[in-house]
Amino acid sequence: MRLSFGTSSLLLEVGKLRAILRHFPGSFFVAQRQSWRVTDLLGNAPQNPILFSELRKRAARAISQIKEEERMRRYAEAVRGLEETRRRLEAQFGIAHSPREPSISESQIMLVSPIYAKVELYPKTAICDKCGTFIDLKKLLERASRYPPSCPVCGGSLIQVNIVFVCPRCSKVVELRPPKSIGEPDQNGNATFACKKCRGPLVLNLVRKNLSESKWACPRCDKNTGVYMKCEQCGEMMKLRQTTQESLYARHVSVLLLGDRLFEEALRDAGSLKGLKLSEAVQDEQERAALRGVFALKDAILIPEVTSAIGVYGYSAFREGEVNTFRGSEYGRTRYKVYCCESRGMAILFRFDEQQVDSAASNGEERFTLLHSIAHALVKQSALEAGVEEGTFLAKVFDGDYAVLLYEARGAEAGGLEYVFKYRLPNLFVNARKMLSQCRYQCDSACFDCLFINNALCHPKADYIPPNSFLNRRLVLKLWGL
Amino acid sequence: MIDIVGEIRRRGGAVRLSEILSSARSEEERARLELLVLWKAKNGEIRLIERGGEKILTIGNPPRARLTGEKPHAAPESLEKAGLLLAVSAPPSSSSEILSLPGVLDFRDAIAEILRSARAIIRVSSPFIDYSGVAFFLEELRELAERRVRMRLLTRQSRDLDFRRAVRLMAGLYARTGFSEGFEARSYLERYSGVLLEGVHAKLIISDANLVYIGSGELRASSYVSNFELGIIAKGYIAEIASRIFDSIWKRSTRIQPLG
Repeated sequence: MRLSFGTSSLLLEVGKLRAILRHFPGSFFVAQRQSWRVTDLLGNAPQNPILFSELRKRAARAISQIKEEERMRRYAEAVRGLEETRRRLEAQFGIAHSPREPSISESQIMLVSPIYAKVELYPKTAICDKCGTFIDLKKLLERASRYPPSCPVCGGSLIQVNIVFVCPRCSKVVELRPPKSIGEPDQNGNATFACKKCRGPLVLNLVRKNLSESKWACPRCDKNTGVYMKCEQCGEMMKLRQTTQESLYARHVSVLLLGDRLFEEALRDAGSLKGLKLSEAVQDEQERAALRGVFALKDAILIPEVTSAIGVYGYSAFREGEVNTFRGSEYGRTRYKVYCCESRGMAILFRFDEQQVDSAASNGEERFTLLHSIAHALVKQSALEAGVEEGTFLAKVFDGDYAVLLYEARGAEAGGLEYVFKYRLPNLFVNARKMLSQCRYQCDSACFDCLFINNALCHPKADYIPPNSFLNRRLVLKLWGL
Repeated sequence: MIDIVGEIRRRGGAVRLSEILSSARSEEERARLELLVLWKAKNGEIRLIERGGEKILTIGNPPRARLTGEKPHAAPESLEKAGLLLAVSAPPSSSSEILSLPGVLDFRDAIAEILRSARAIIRVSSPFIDYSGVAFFLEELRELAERRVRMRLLTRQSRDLDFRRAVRLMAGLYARTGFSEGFEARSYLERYSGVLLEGVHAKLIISDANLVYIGSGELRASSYVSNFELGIIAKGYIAEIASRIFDSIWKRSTRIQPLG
């Protein structure tokens, strides 16, 4: 990653859905062979009142839950363990499972429909490709007289260090810095770090294949020290991570509307679901019987328009880590930004045979896992059948109704779900089954070759579940097997 | 859309899935065809076997009664329509109950039909035979000789009088029709100092390498009357393989002089 220019911040126009799924504030991306970070998303307030008041409500509930969990976790750590705390609270006050009012009110949620992204070059650290000297790029860019800047020690060209420290507990992200015990910023202000012992420039020996083997080194006094840092916020030992990896887990809330009703409500009212029926798309009775016999597909309906909204309210650096929300303040009151967008498109509702599903899944959790796995298989395969890019179609799981909804999250025009439903329904199921049975790794639950989809695209429920969890290829093959 | 089961039958009982799918004119038709194959395989009408990385379709088990409370499928009316059937020789006390089950035939009727269906050659492996057992099918055997259908009988030679009479009866039927070369009996039995080293014990009746009975029943009166015997009748691929197995044992066996 050779520095080609010195621009350190830019304002870019962004696609709304792309911004929400991938380029939310705090996320990294690679452009022009350099690592960048989104610092903010700018936009306007969204329009649809029903959709967004529900989204605001859900976001408030989700953030309240996060705050409550964090509070419980910190309290639990202060005592002995979370479980014991919960038990004690329940025994003494009976409050552990009592319903709580959300501590964050809806009025504190600020919805933003993004148009522009503010981005900056990040991390602003580099090493010289000749002498390996570690350089604070921020300082160097402030003083640089020519671009691209060069190594202040030997004049060699600079390579961005696309590695940061990430706290596994509080998700704080920090640029690499040598610990104070071995080096400190050079007194001359030329953006290098001096060895505390001999005052020589500190070098970073990067081992990209195994980052934990990287070392701070002083060539003059031949001293090596590991690359480590403790989180200033919570005291946890931080982990090294490459910014080029997709390393953050976004937290999303979503809402689906059918007309002006919530989809969950409309689903229970059979009369409200109108659209092209399975018998109209697959006219051969034998084929319909085969779809039911092999794939447990009881019914399917092409719904001409559903309105969906998706919002991102925070992210964590690890699957189970604490969530960073997009907090700000306005008129002295804490506000939480939720970046969101609305889209309209077609949807296919697949209903599966209760008896067959229950015979393959023994309990409620397994049933959700089974339907969630089917949803992933159909999302992946439908994009291939329609010839559109991944992320055009998303899915929701209604496990209580034994149903999976596939919907268009962005405009797919004629090549969208309508085409899949009318012409390629047998292909969709037959090829999805093939994808699972021919998994290259023959994995036990799920892997990149079969059920995993991009983390950002997996939100099967209104509430958060870790992306790509609750998946099992073998469970689907048990239902779809011979 | 092609008739999948009919196509498998036409191709001798087994066909590659890729061959069936290649008949589709479009990708959509191919998927629909594959969907029907999966369905028929799930129903048990056909079998989908993976061999050497290739998927092979064969005729499956006949539709059977299920335990889930579904109605049993109707039994096939004749052997021609059946892919696989059971042949039972049931003790008189339970015969009506057993023979009313779908896909189950009476052993004697089944053997008679297999003999009648032969056009070129009939292979019989019956380690023990007796005169009454052979005489029971006198009409069918005479008809075979008249139709110039060759018969290979693989058995265990015995000094028993009944055994010799049975072999002589068959040879005589062929000799009387002027087709004595059509009948050949061989024995596959090797003993050393009273210890059995090799010997035939399989009970097979194969008609033209196309239809086979494999089971416990043999050409003996006790098999028809008193014993509980059970076997399967299969068509096509299995019959062909069974006839190859028979032939390889036949090569190792020694000829019996029935009329000598």
